[in-house]
Amino acid sequence: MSEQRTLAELEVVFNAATTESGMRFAAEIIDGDPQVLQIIVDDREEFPVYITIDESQILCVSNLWNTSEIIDGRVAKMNTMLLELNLPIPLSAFAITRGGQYTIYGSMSPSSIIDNVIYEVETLSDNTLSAIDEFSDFLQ
Amino acid sequence: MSGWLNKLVTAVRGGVNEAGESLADSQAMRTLDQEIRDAENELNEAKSSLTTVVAEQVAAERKVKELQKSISEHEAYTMQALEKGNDQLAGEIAEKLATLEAELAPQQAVLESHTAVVKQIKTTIKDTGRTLQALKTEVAVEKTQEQAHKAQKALASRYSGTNSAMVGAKASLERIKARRQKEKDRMKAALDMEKDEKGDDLQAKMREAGLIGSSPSKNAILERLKNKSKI
Repeated sequence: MSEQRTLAELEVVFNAATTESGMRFAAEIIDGDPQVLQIIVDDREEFPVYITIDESQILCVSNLWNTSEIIDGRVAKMNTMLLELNLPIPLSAFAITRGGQYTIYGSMSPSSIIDNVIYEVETLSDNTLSAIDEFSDFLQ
Repeated sequence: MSGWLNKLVTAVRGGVNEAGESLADSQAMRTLDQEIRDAENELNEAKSSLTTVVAEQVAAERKVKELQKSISEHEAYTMQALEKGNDQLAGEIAEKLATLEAELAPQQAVLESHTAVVKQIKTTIKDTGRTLQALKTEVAVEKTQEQAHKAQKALASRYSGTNSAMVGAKASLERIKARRQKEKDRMKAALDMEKDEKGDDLQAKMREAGLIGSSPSKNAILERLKNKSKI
C-alpha cells in the first residue's frame, strides 16, 4: 500500500507551493472533529477550500451559496442546471449539505501524489468562482 | 438488487436538521451514527459467517477431490482386472466404484451450495461495506461542513472587519472582482508612469506639434513611388 497523505504534510506543502499559473496559498489546520485543513487561495480569501482526510478519501470542499441566497422560485431550474454541469465540469462535483449549503467538491485517493492535490485545489478554486459567476442570476 | 443506496437515502432523509441546532447533537447525526453501528455489526456478522462457510466449502472441496481421485483409481483397477481376464475381481471393484460414485453426488451438491452461499455472503459484505463507507462519508462531510462554516465565519470577520454573518456568495465574488480591477488599474497606472519616465509621451507630443517628423505613412510611400515611375 502506498503512503497516505496527512493534513500536516499538506499544510507545509501548500504554504510553500506556487502553481504554474502563479497561484499561492495560505494553509492552516483547524482542530476539531474531524481535523480540517483550511486553504486560503491568494486573492480569493472569501472562498477557502477545506480538506479532510480519512481512510477512504481526501475530500476537498469549497462552499458556494446557501439555499437562502437563491432567488424565490428559481431553485428547481438551478438544481437541474447544476446536475447538467456535473459531468462536464473538470474534477469537481456539486452537492447540497444538510444545512442547505451548496458546495463544490472533489474527492481523491488518500495516497494521491502531492502535485495532484495541489492541482485539485487550484481547479476547485477556479470552478468555485466560475460557478458563482455563472449562477449569479439565480442569487440574491 | 443491492440495497446500499436505498439504505443511504433513508438515512439521509431520516433526520432533517432543526434550525439552529448544532449538528453534532442533532437527531440527524444520532440517526446516522446508529445506522453506522448497525452496518458495522452486519458487516462483522457477515465476515464471521463467511469464515465458517469458507471452511466448510474447503472441506467439501477436499472430500469431492478425494472421491474423484479414488474413482479414477478404481476405474483403472477395473480395466486392469478386465485385461487380465479376472472378471470376478473386476466385478468386485466395480461394486466399490458404485459406492464411491453414490458418495460423490451428494458431496458435489454440498460443495455447490456452499459455493453459492459464499458468493452471496461476499455480495452482502461488499454491499454493507459500501453502505458503511457512504454513511461515514456523509458524517464526515457534514462535520467538515460545520467546521468549515465556523472557520469561514471567523475568516469573514477577520478580513471584512465585521462580525456579521457570512456575506453572500454573489457579493463576495463582486468583491474579488473589484479587488482585481483595482489591481489592474494600479498596474496600468504604474506602467503609464514608467512610459512617462521613458519619455514616450514627450516624443508623441513633439511629433504632434510637428517638431519632429512622424514615421512615413503608407500613402506617402505610394505617392513617392508613383512620382518615381513618372520620371
